Amino acid sequence: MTFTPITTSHYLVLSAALLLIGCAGLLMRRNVIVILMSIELILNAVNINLVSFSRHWQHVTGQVFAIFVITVAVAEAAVGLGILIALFRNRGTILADEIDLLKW
Amino acid sequence: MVNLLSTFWFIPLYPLIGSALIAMLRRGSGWIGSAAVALSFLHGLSAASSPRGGAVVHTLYEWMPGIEFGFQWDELSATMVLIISGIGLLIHIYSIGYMAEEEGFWRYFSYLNLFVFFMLLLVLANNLVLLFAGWEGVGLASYLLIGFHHDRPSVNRNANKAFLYNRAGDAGFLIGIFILLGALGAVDFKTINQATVATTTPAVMIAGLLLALGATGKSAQLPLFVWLPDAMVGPTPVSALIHAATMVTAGIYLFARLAPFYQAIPEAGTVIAVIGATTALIGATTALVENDIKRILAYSTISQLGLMFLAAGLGATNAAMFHVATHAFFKALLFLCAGNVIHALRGEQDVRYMGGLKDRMPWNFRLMTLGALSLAGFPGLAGFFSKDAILVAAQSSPWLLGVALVVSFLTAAYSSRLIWAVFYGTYTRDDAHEAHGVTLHSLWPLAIGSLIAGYFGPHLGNEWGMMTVSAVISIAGLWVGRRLLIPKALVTLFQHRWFVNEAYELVWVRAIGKRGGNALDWIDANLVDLLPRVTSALVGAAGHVAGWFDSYVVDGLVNATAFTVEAASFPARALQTGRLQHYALIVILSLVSAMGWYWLQ
Repeated sequence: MTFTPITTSHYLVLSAALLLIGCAGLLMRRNVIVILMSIELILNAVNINLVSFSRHWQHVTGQVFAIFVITVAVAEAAVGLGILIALFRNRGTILADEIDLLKW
Repeated sequence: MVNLLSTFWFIPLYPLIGSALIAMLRRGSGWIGSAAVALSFLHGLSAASSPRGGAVVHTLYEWMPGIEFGFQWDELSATMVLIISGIGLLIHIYSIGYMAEEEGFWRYFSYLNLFVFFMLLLVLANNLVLLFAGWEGVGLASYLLIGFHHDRPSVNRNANKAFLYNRAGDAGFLIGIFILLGALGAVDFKTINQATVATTTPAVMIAGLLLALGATGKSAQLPLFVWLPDAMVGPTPVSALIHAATMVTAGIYLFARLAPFYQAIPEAGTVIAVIGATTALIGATTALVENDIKRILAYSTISQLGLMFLAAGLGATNAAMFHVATHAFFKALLFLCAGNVIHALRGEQDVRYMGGLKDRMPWNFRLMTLGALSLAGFPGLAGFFSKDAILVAAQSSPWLLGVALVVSFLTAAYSSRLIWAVFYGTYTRDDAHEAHGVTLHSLWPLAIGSLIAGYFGPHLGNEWGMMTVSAVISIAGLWVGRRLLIPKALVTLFQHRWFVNEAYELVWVRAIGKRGGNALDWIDANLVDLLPRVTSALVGAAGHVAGWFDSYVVDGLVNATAFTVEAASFPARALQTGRLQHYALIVILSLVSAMGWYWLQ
C-alpha cells in the first residue's frame, strides 16, 4: 500500500472544508455560542491555510501570522462570551434571531 | 484774630458738619448737634456785632453761568441767622431731654442739624437759586422730621402730605425763578430789587405772584395751608423749630428780602395781603374750636403767619419781620411747654382730657401762660408790640385793619381758652409731674425773649391810639376766651377748618382725581385701546394666514421631502433587519460574488 504524500493541496482542501462548515454554522445556527464556535472554525481554516503556505514556500511569516490570529481569536472569544453573558442577563435569551432590536 | 465778619459764610457749615458727624458717630449726638448750632450762633453773634458798612457779599465760585454760589450778610440775614441758630440751639438742648427715650436719637439730631444747615443757607443766599436750594432742603428736613416716627402709617401719610403741598408751592417758585431769569437776566437779589414800576412787565408781575405761591406753600398760607396741622405728628420740638419759629417764616423772609421788588408790583402785594388776612381769619377761628393742643398751636401759627403776610403784602416788611422774631420766641415757648404737658400726661394731646395742671406743673404753667399772653398781645409783652406794628401797617385799608383786629381778638380768645383748658379746672389724672432738667431750663431764654423782645423792634412813634385799641381788644379776648360761647353752626364750620381740606378733597381727589380718573379710564378703554385692538385684530388675521401658509405650504414641502426620502429608502431600509445572521449572510454573499466576479474576469 502506497501512501500518497500529503501535499499543500490536501491542506487547502481541508482548509476550504473547514471554512465552508464554519460559514454554514455561522449562517444557520441560532445559538450565539455555536455561532462563536463557527467563527473559531473559520479562523482555524485561515490558520491552516497560512501554515500550509508557510511550509510550501519555506517562509516563516505565515506561521507568525497564525500565532497572531490565535491570539486575536482568544481575545475575541473572551470579549464575545463577556458580551454574551451580559446579553443573557438583560434579555434572558441567547438565540440570535430573537436579538433584533438594532434596526431602523 | 480771625475776622468773623468776612468768614460769615462758615455759619451754615457747622450744622452740616455736625449732621454728618452725628450720622457717623451715632453717639453723643445731642451734644454734638447743640455744639454745632452753638458755634453758628456765636459766629453769627460776633459777625452781627462787627462794624460794617452796608451788605457784605462773599462769592465762593460761579455755580452756573451768571449764577453765583454767593452769600450775603446784612441786617435781615443777621436777624434771621440769630433767630434760627439761637432758638435752634435752645430747641436742640430741649430735645436732648425730650427725645431721650426715643429710638433713633442720633437720626433725630442728624436731621435737625441738617435742617439748621439748609435754613441758614436759605437766609444767607444772595440769589434766588441758592435760596431755592435751601428752600428745598428745609422741605426735605421737614419731611424727614415729620416722618420721624415712620413706623406709624398715619405719620408717613402726613409727612407725604406736607411734602407734596410744599412741592406744589415750590413748582410755582421754580417757574417764578425761570421767568425772572428770562425777564431780568439775573436772579441775584440786587438785580431783582432794582426793578421799578416803570420796568416791570406782566411777566415780572406773574413771576412775583408765583414766588408768592411758593411762599404760601412754605409758610402754610391759604391755597396750601392744610399740611401744617397734619405736620404736628412730628416730635414736638420739631413743631417748635420748623413749624413755628423758622421754616414757615421763610415766605415772610422772601418778601422782606425782595421788598423793593414787591414795591414795584403793588398788585401782587395786595394779593398777598388779602391771602394773609383770609388765612389769619381761618386759622384763628379754627384754633378756637380745635381740641388737640398741638393743632391749636399749629392753627395759631397759620393765623400769625397770615398777619405777617398781611403786613408784608402792604409793604411793611419791617413790621412783618419784627413779628417773625417775637413770634419765634413765644411760639417756640408755647410749643415746648406743650411738649412738657404732653410728656407729663404720657402722650395725651386732647385738651378736653387735660385740666388742673396748674399745681402739678407750676413752672411750666407760668412759662406757658407767659407765652400765651405774649401771643395774645397782652400790653407790654413782645407780641403786643409786634402785633401793634402790623395793625399800624394795616391802617391803610379799613377792611384789612378790621380783619386784623378780629384776628387779634380771636388770638387772645384761643390763647386764654388753651391756658384755661390745660391748667385750670379739675385735675383728673394722678401721673402728671413737673418738667425737669433741660426740658425746663432751656425755656428760660425763650421766656425772657417773649417778655422783652418787643422793646428792640422798630420804633413806632406816637401810635398810642392803636396801642390802646389793641390792648383793649387783647384783654377783652382773654376775658371772653375763658368761657367760650360760640354758635353751634360756627363751631362745625370752624372745626372743619372752613371745609378747605374737605373742598380740596372734593375738588382734587373726588372730582378731578376720581372723575378724571374714570374719564381717562373710559378714554383709555374706548379710544386709546381702539388702535391696539384694530392692530391686534389685523395681526391676528395675518397670523392665521401666515399660520395656514406655514402648516400647509412650508410644512408640506418639508413633509413631502421627508416622504420622498422615506419612500425611496424603503428597499434599503428593508435590508436592516436587526438580525446578526442576515448581515453575515450579506457579507458572505458579497464576498462570494466579488470573488466570483473576479474569477469570471
